[in-house]
Amino acid sequence: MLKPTKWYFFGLVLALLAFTGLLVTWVHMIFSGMHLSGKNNPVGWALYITNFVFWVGIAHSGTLISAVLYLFRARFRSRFNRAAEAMTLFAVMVAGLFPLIHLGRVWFFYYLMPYPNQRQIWPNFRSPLVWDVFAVSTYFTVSVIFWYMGLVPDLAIARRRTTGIARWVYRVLSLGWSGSSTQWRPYNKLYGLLACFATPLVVSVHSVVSWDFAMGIVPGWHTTIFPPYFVAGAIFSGCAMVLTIMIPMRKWFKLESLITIEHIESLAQMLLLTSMIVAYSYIIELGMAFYSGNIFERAQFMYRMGGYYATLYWIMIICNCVIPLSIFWRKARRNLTWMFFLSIFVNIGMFLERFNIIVQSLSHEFEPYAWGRYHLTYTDVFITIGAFGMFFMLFLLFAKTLPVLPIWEVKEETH
Amino acid sequence: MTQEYLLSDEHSFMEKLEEVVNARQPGDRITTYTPLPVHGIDDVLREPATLVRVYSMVGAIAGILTAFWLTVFTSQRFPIIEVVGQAAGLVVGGKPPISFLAYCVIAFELAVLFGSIGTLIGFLLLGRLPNIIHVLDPKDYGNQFAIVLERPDANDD
Repeated sequence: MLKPTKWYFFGLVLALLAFTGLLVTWVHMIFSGMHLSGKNNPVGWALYITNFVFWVGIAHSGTLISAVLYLFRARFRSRFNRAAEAMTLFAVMVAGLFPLIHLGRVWFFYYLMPYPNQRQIWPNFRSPLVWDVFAVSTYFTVSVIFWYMGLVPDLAIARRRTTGIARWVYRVLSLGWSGSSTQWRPYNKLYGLLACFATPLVVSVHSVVSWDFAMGIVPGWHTTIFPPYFVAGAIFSGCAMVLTIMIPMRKWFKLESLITIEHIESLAQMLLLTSMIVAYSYIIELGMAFYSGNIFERAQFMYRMGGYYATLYWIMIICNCVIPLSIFWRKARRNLTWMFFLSIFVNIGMFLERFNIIVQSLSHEFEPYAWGRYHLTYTDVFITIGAFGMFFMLFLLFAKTLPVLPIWEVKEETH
Repeated sequence: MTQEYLLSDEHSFMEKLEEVVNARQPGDRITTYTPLPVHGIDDVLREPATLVRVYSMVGAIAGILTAFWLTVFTSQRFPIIEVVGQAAGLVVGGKPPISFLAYCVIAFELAVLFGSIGTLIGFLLLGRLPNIIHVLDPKDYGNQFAIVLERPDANDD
């Protein structure tokens, strides 16, 4: 909440411009038609759904760091959890935008809600797409509650350090918190219970997202490994995004004494663990394709490794499985510049993983006459860049206006 | 009569609290204000366990029931097929209209959603928040640990 450096404002303006680009492009596409997007037949789910899955994945480490590490009493958690929870919220908001963009006729989005839309037909609750609506909206609501409740004691601290309108805003947002034993007692319980609710939710949400694919019969999708594979991938990409954000943030907001190299190192080790789980999943996926005797499945993976998009597949392997191995080397995981670039490589790798699963599978289904390719369009590029802009814009605004570190938890830890 | 004890660290706060509690007279009310959660206060004050978890459980059960009601009820609302003279709902993809396994996913999500909202409501009610009086005039002891002893005056009777 201190005055940030000029790099902060530079980043904010850049993010705002990218987000404006998304809005302008989206409005243009609504008026001109979906032909502006590169999706086609057979690649009906393309970059927008890739973005959706990627951003839901990014959201996951927030809950992992806040809830799962809270239950395991991991000490390094308190340096990252507030930022990671905020990241969860903003990532879910960005993710929520993509099914709407993908719809084309966005004004019919309410068809997904439990509401009798046409001729008294209710949504089909047997469809994973409807499960997804419930999973993502539950995830968003629970994340908001968890994040806001964690903030309340810190907002009470912020109200005495500010003046004018800001002071009144913090007074209202802190709900009149006084830190009395009558408040701390239910608060501790609330925090623990929310962590208990959020932990299986992390696993369920990305499992449900994976079922959007695994319930289909498309080669490359129809596999039982998808739920754990998606959950591990989500935590992997989320941890990388926490590093991407926190390393510059640490410098911009002068948090070096609070977020030490040891904290970054702990997160790096988690990144390494999830990287190895993801690498293991890739191997299992290939093993299942080649030993299942299913020619379509085998053809799909041959296509991924040597077909039209093979470069993207191998970049994914290098970014997600090879480069993170450098974390084994202590000097590398304590080097912040390297960790920052490594986290970007992982983000790129995980985005490509989603792209490979979605686009490659659809472009190379069963019969050769049904094969087709997806080609990137300017609309898709602007919307994707704009999503990153929206995410970073929201995060930078949060970092300036609300406590980016959980003050009461850091105090509790140091006492 | 109200007495306030302000202490700068957790250790001396706990010692003072035990001292104040031991010297407590009938009718005294002791409230503590701390900048961070201090474990052990409840034992010293002999406070009963908080009931937030009851709200969580009620919320979670309500979520499960709502989910099954919503899914089963709505799958019966479009009676296209008749089985033995009775409307049986719209069959999609050959799956039975009432597919409990599929509905378990919705039940799980709503159990978490309603359970979390129930927990929040429980916390707000038991913690007496939002507190309008303290929003307008915050009670703030900063980084100090405070013990407030309220003793009814003798002439209150």
